[in-house]
Amino acid sequence: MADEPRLSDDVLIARIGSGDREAFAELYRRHKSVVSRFAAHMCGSRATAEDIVHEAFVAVIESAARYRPGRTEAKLWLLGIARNYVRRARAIRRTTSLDEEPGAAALAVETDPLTDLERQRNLASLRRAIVALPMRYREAIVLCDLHEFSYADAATALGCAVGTVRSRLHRGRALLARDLCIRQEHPCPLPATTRTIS
Amino acid sequence: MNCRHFVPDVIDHARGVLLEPSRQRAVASHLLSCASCAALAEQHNAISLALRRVASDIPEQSPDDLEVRRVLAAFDRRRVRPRRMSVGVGLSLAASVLIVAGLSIGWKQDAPRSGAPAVAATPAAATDPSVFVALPGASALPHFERGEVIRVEVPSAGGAVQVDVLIGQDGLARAARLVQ
Repeated sequence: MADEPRLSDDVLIARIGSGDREAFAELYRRHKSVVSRFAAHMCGSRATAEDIVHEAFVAVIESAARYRPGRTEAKLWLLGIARNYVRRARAIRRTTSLDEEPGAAALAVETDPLTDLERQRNLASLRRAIVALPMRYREAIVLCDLHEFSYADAATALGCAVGTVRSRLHRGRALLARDLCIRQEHPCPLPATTRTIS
Repeated sequence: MNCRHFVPDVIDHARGVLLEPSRQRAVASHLLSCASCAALAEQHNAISLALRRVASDIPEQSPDDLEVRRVLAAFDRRRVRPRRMSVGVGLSLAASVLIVAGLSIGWKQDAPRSGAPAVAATPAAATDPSVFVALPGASALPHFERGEVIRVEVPSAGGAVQVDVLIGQDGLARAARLVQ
């Protein structure tokens, strides 16, 4: 496969359906990262995310034969599979927070310890608030805001209408803002605002 | 036009979503005259900034060789499993077909013939017990060049019955025959 020109995802999936392990390895190399980030943001745990990624790609082996090229982008199809495993994982596991995992603190780049601490606190509050959102709102925020997908792509991955994704995203953001300001564990990272709908 | 009408576009505007030019102009104009919506836009700007920090907290990272090897091992295990299942299903089908064949044509105690196994297309054609009976659906399977015969015992009302099952090189069961 190394000598071949870059094959499309559709071709790789077709080859996986007929048992081509190199095609499977190539699909994994291309898309593991995006699936892993999606799962980690959805669960708030890198360890759980890695399990989900593994399960999702194993599911690809058996689903590849049923994949219909052109109906959906392969990346969105993979995220749709991962989403099912996220839902299962949420049902059966207690996830540990990203903040509790080794290496989380090492991600900070600030040199001032106080700024660094404040930044970590704000990030931790945000992560907790995202993971605490109801699944349908969390999915919209993770795909549209964290992964910067268009409404159309997010709708494909989630299997719903574009308008549904948009309204879920807006509702999720409103919940996020409210949650972050109501908890009062730390100073609210968002500017205060009062809404008066005329 | 009231604020409620503008709220979705104000949020999209704050997120940096490109709106249609006419809607973009309408939102920009509304934000200049409405403090409440301007505050909402400011809040969503702040949310967007905060979410970008969360997003960059988990960077894109290609899998290393160890990860690829691990997932390939899972691939290899998965590719083996369907064959095992096919043999299992094949044995069940073999038992069913042969019991029906035995009931419909009667069992003759002929000596088995030597040589390459012949395969009858239907149970009714299998008047000779040494002839393999094609399993249902076997004709739809890819052509096979070599295979092996495995002998299994199938429980029945009168005790265990021995059955030879013809397995292609792809691990899929093709035909079966009863053993005396």
